[in-house]
Amino acid sequence: MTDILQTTVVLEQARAIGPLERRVLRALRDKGPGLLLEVAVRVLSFPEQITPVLRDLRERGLIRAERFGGSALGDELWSVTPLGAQILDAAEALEQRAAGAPAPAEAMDGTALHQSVKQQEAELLHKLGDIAVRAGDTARAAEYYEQALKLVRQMRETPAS
Amino acid sequence: MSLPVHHIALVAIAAAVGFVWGLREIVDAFKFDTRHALRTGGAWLLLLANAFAAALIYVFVASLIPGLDTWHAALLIGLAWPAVIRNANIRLAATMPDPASLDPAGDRQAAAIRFEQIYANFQDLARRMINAALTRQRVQLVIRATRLDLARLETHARTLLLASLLQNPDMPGDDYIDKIMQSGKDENKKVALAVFIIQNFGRDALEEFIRQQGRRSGSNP
Repeated sequence: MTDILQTTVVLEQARAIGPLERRVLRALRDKGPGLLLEVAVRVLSFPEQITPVLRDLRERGLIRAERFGGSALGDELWSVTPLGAQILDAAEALEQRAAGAPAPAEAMDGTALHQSVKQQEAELLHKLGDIAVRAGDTARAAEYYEQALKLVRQMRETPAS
Repeated sequence: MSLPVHHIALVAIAAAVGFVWGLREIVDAFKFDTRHALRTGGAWLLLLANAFAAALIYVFVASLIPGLDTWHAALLIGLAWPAVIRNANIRLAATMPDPASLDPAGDRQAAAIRFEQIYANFQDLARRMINAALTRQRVQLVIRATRLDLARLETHARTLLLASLLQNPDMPGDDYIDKIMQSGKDENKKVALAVFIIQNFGRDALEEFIRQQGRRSGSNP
């Protein structure tokens, strides 16, 4: 039950992430930890513009900061947390799904839309399972896969009109 | 006399494989920064710990199971030791049940420390040490770049950008450099340009430029 709640939290946070937040998370994940000015340059921004974004992401537990002496580039070394990486992966999966969607949601009837959302969630759970496998957490991966399987079975029981 | 030498050679094989495992982890984590990462104490701590753990596990397994004193057993255990660590538990509380507890089995489970967690914590520590060292190196490089002429540094950044745009049209345009040049004091512009070069074209691009400028000022005092 806790795991389902956690998955829901991950999905909700992934949907709530803004474009600049996503770029900051991606920059930290792909290029490693960085000082304030380094992170700003990676996202083609300036320190005063990304400071509130970094603070907000830290409050949500998606990034962390370690003290790093006094330097012209910033005095904290920012890095992405495992939760931040997980949410970024989920956000990217949702983004890919949205980009590859065959028809807009408005064009679907209620059942088809419901099925589509379920399918997206099943694929996302599958992806989270894969991430957990890579992290060596097979127990959690099994839970994700079971949840995905449950959704797939539900979709088969109620075929789209 | 040849027996201990033979055993030492086998332990060395397991250690060497463990060392290569550690190297692979560093390459995976630091990719293009591997060369610089390998010059840090954290990297050597990780590499030596990997080698030591592989050797220790080989000695332990070989002492339990007879017939493992062959080079391919040493090689195999050197390769498989992370899997051994991942599945091993140290049950600290196994011999110390809590009399007040209603669920001693649960207590033991809670107190069990997974080797994997210890290793993950150690990896995290080494990674943080490497990241801190790499950041210090980058800061030093940026400080050296602030002694350069601003116009030359700007030209270098624009040239690098232009060259990379030809290969990768998705690179950012030079309007970001325009914004840097419109902001604040010269010192801050130099810092931002140096960071821009490091982040987009790597440390070598800036290090080489600083060397060139040093040679130029040496030849034209």
